[in-house]
Amino acid sequence: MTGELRVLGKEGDTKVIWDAAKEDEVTAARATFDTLKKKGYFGYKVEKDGGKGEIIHQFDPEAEKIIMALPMRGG
Amino acid sequence: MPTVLSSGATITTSSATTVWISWVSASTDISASGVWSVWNGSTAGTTTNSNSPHINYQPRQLTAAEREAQERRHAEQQTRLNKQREEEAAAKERALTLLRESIDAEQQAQFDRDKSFIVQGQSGKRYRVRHGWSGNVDELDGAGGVVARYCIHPQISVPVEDNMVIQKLMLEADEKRFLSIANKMVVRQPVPA
Repeated sequence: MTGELRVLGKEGDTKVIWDAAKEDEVTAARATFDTLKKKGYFGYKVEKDGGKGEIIHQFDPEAEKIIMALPMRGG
Repeated sequence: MPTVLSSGATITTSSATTVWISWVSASTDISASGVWSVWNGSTAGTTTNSNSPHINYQPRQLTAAEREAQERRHAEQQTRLNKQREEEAAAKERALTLLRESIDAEQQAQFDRDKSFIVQGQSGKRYRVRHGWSGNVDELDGAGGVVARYCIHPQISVPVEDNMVIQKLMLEADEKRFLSIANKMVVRQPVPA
C-alpha cells in the first residue's frame, strides 16, 4: 500500500511517498514527519476521499495520506 | 515687478514666490537652474549667479556598453519575475488540487458555487470556511446566520487554498486549538437551532 505525506509550504505542497512494505521508504517518510513535528507542524491523517481528518502525533505507515500543516497564528 | 533676466545671467528677485510666479509664467527666457538657485536660497533680496557648476547638471549620456549592460539587467530582472509568477501559479494550482481532494462531494459543490464550504467542528458547531487568508471562517448558528468570525492563518505565506485546508482540518480534528489561536470577532448572539 502506498501512502503520501503532503507537506504544505510557501510553494504549495510537496509530496513524500512511501510503500508500507518497503522499510527504507517508511523510514524516510517517518524522518520527514518527525523533523516537521519538531518545527511546529501538525500531522493530520486523512482519507483520500476528502473525509474528516484525524490529528496524529506519530507517523503512521498505514495511513493513506498525511497532511503536514504549518504552525498557525491569529490574524 | 522684479526683473528676470535671460538664462545663464544673474537673476535678482525679492522673493522665492516671485521667482516661482515668473517660472510658471509664459516667460521662455528663464532657465530651470536659474530659478532653482534663487528658490533654494535666501528670499531676502538675494542675487544669485545661475552659472554655478552644481546647478547646471546634465545627465551623462550612457555609452553603448553601458546601455547594453542596462538592457541585460532589465532582461534578467524580467526573467526572474516571470519565473516567480510561474512558480506562484503552479503552487496555487497544487493547492487547489489538494483542497478539492480534502473536501467531500457536498463541500466541493458548495465551493464551486460560492468559493466556500461548511465544516462541522468537533463540538458539533458549524463553520463556513470562505476563500480567503484572514477573517474567513464564520461560526454559524442553527439558522445558518453568522454569529462570529475567526481570523487564523499560517505563520508564513502559503497559497490561500492551503490555508483553507488547514482551517478545515483543525476545526474537524483540533477545534479547541483552533479556537485558542484564532482571533474572534463576535457578530451577534446565536439563534437557537
